[in-house]
Amino acid sequence: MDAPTTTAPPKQPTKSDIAILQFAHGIELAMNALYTKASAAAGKDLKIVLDLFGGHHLAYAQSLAGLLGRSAPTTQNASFYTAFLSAASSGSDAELAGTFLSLENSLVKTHLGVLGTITGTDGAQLVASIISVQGRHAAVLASLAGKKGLGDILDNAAEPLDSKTYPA
Amino acid sequence: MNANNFEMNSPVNRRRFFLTGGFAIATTTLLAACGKGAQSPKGEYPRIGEVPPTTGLPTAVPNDEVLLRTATSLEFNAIDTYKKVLELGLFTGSSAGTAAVVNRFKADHEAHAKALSGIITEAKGETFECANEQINKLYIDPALNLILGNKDAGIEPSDTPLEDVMALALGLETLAASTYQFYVSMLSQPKLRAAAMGIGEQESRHAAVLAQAINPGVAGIGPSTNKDTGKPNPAAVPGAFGSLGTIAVTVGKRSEAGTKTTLNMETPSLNSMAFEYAKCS
Repeated sequence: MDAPTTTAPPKQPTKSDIAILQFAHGIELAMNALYTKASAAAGKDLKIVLDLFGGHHLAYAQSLAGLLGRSAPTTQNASFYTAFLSAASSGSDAELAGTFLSLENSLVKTHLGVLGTITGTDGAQLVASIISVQGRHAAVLASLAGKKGLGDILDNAAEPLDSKTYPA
Repeated sequence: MNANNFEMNSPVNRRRFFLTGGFAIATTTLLAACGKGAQSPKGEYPRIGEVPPTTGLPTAVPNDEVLLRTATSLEFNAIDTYKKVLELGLFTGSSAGTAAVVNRFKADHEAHAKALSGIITEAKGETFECANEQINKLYIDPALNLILGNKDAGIEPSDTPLEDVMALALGLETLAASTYQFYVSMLSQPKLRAAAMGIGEQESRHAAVLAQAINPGVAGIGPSTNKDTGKPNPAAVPGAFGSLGTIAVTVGKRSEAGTKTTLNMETPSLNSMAFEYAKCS
């Protein structure tokens, strides 16, 4: 393999890491808000799941804020929130689950892009622990959305979110 | 009598002479053994008898190649285990659909192993395309013995083999997901971290599907506790963040008290890695 580098990667986020993690933080805050909206429109069983997952996204935002410190944005990504507000606050339970399935899949891809770009190991570890659970979110939501095929549960063809489409 | 009251012909004083002389010889021998004198030129402890020579392992560091080789070996652990499980013929009747899930998971692990080998080869490293012996020895073989029984070891087969096979599969998928997550902190290059977690995320989905199969419905999504055993129930989403903690797998024939054996799995550490000197046998 490539000759091992003699310089250990930085622990703290670098300057370029910060901008990327700020975007992720804004998206996580918006996801929490979208889950809150959906919970109000969902049936009893789905509400339990949406409340649980929404709480997880708040935890991600809080952890990213802890990592970013004073560089953390204080508001959610408004353009992302607005784009999905309508879909996240109406429809049958299966439709709501389907909406969040595609959002979770997009977030997995987004965070994989973040992981492949940032150099600080603290941020990388945190993002990796988020990706692992968002994959689980997606698998559960696929079932709740009525997806029967294993491919619908396990495969992720979503595109990552980007800051050009959803500026903070 | 001389000046120091030493009379050689006195039996009492002769005894004292021997005692004093013996103590002096013993002390001298001890000091010589502890010292770095001419008799121990390398500063080694003196030995009695022959000691067989030992060969130490080559110096190795857990670099990117080693981490990816180890991850590949875990994929082969999963592939081999699923092959064995499919051969048991457990998935019949109402469980027939589970065979399709197991086959899909096996195919995914084969694809993961191929992808990892591709990354290693592209970086001019040496691939490691076999199961991790240490993981087999520590976790998988004991679990299969508890499920299938082992007469030589006096282990009776499980009375619920299908349930136990599912528990083992959940444990292995969780172990794989945790391993990729753990290795992110050790991989030096961001692109390798992303590639690893791209696979780890799929292992997490496998684990969620298995957890739902074992503990279905909304009650099996979030964390919960078994009221009888006090242990955590299998959950599709056991926490907000991916855990790197010990993974408990409960399998085997129930004891008279109604309990099964719990095996604790941990992500492969330094003593379980596929270092560059390790070869597939």
